[in-house]
Amino acid sequence: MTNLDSELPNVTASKVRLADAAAWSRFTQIASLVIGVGLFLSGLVFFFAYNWQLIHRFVKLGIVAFLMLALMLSIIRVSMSTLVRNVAISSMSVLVGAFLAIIGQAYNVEADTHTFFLTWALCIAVWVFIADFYPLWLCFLALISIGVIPFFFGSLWCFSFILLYGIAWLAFFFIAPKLTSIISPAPSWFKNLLITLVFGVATVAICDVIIVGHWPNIILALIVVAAIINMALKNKSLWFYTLPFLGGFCVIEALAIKIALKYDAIGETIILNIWIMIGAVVASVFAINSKRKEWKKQEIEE
Amino acid sequence: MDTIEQNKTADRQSWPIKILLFIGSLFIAALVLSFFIIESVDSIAAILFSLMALSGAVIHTVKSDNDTGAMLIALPLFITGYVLMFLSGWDESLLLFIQLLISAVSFYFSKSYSIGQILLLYSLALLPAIFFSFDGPFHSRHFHIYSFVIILIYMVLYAATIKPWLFSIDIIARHIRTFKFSTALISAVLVFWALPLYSIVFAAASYAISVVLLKKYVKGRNLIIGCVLALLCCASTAAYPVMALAFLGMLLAFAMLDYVGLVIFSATLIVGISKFYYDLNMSLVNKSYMLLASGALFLLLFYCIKRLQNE
Repeated sequence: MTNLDSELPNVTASKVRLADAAAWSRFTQIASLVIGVGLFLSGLVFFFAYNWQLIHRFVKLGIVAFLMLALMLSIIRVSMSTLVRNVAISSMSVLVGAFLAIIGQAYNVEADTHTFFLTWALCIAVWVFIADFYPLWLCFLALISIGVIPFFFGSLWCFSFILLYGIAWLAFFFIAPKLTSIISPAPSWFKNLLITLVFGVATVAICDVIIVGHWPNIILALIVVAAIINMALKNKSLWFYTLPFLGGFCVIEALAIKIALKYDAIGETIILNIWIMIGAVVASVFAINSKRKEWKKQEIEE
Repeated sequence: MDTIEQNKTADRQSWPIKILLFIGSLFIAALVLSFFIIESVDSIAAILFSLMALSGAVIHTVKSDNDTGAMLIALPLFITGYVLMFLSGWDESLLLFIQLLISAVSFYFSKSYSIGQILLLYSLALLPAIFFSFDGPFHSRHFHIYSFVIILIYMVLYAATIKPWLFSIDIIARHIRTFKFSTALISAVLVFWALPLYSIVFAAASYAISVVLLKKYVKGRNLIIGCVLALLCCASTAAYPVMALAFLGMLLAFAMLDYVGLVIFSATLIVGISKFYYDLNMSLVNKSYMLLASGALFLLLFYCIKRLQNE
């Protein structure tokens, strides 16, 4: 008995699904629109790039301000679908960054990178709340993180502060939709991404403890890992169940690096490391697979 | 019946586990190969060990249909066998040909689905590699001809999957998605070495397909307008073979509703357009005018299609 899969029924059927007239019409419209807009915008960018030095600073600022104003007027006046409106607000948010960059360039403002991103994030905060568009929320989080996180560097508790920062945002996105109707519940991809990032920071914190020895960060990192394992078992999420195993691989590598550096035995450590990694991968595959089958069985029984 | 279907899907590995298994197999192969590299085995010994590893791999895949076992035992043996062949230092073309035979036979008899996928992709990738190894320098005239011929064969095979009865052999039918993915991906990669002249062939094929589709769905005056617009569109892609093949691939992929193929050829089109404009021997401002004009043409095309549809 071979491993049959879902391809076989589709192919042995007398007909394969083909695109119909409506699908072709939509495809040609979308393709021509996307290619046309892409080429046109690229031409516009190259034109301004070529002439950038010749353009007066007021004209540069005026162009960006005009585009922002045009977008804002179209959002207010023109009836459009929610998705188009959100994309327009996102575009306006990007233009704010361009506007601040031009100010910085034109007036030689001696602001550092963190201040620039933080200012950008604060300027668009209201629009982000109004749009309630999670890709825009993600960009907003990225901007504010680039602005805030570097302030933690240099401290012994660096990773603990970053973990607390991440946990605070997670709590916000879990609790805020329950308290106010302005913010809709976050989609699962967004929550999963945030949790994965927080887990990543916890893993890096543990590796940092092993290699460098910043012990104060270990407690919060282990609490985060335990919380994610608990969430994986409660929600029967295969991805969250896999995360601790991936983190485990990183910890094994950190240990190998520590041993290699401490005992100056790089060759032997590499061979031993490969053996251990093989064992770890095989064990994790069996563990994840058996858990997956167990959950599937429970699902069928329910 | 439901229980059987559920059991089938329960046995099939999800993609995160497949990735983990693949990483594991690489570690195992690296460990085994490290012994041979450290011991600096000679040519004959390398070939002997290679054949032993490959025999073991083939026997395992023929006997067992367990994907996990195949990925952790057979796949490292395949990787070890193939790498040892290259370490032997024998003629590259001969080695690639032997590998192609072994991969094709193993694929035919393999009971493991994941191994079958990998062997199919490897076999299809080996074919161009064999042709390229026959000739000398990388950028010889024959190289361009070989890549063009292989692209044509693979694109014809890709298009032929629209007729499933052509691929009614069980083993091919089982891996039809992998077959489509492999032929699309290899064609999209090889086209970057094609001569500009070949873009005319791809553009002509795109136009032929467009006319067939237009005749099927459009009548009267709109058919003539549609054919003219299709001619303009296909002719514009003939400027660069990557754009021409990518456009042809997108038409075929969308016709079959093969979204993976559509993503591959769309990405190829974007890279092709970027490379075309980057390689143009003109100033940045002239390039910007050309891009603006091209963009305006496609937006006009969009407007014409929308009007024709409304009529």
